[in-house]
Amino acid sequence: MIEKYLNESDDTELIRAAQEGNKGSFGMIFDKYKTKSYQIAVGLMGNRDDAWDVTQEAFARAWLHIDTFHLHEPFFPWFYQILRRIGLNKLKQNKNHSPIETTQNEKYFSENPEFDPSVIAERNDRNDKIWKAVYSLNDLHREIIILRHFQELSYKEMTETLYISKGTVMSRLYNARKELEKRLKGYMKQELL
Amino acid sequence: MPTHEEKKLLMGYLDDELSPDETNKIETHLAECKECAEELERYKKLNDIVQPLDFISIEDRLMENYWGKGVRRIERKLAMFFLFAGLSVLAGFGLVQVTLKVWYATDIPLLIKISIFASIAGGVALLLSILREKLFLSKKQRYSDIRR
Repeated sequence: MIEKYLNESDDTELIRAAQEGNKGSFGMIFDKYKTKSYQIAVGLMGNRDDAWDVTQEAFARAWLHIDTFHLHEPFFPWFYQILRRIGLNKLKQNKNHSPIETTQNEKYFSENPEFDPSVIAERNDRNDKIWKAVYSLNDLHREIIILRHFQELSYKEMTETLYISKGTVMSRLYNARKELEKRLKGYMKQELL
Repeated sequence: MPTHEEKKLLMGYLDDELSPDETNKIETHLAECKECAEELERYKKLNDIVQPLDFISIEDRLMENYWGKGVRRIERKLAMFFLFAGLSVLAGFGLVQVTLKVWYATDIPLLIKISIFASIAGGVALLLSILREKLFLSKKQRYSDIRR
């Protein structure tokens, strides 16, 4: 599913044209990656408004700095670094967003204006619980869960997208899943009954 | 308690991302270590539960040319930055000049001088307070009027 992210051969000519100032070519790149970029941004930011702002700004910065992109590299990992930097900076500015110990803390969610439960396309008890649990992880853990579980990236794709080694992918996934398991423990027991 | 290396291999094994050598290594370990085998089972259940979530997409009409809007927004941010930087320097310079002139003026009574300084100090404090509210507090209250 995600192979298309990293199959960049189609992008090279478009980006070359964009580097020469062709806005239409960059528009085609934008069309190709806009939905997935926005989906990842919603996962990171927790709501549509911030996700929209971050995605929009990331594409704008990519366009402004397209001349610094090396054509022999894949586009999406380069672009994703821009997107995540803007997203993580925005999260840092928001002092309200901090990881919590358990998803049972309803007060945290009701008082956190950044978390929007209605962003999920198909709402039900299971999806709501998963979304709450994922959102309550710290930024790096949430990011890797979104990329692996929601975007279904392979380890190779994650190493390329996050610029980290396979070992780091595995250890970060371990820690993220451990935290996620803690948050979903009650629900997992309920499911098994 | 799994070692750091075993934790990593457990994840790779769970996600079917290990080399044959690594797979052999972790399978041998799992056959001997009950704790790691149980942990693997727990993560399998977690994987079954955490299915991919789709988020509602932005409508196509809103997406049209929105990277262009982003460029304009960055341009405006830069323009605002330079505008405010320039105005701040000018305002600071002006305030210093006025303060010095008033301080050294011999024909202004002391009470009037104090009143002028108090007004300047109050104005600056008020400006800083408004700026602080606009820049930091309002961002956190964007959904304060929405009931869920």
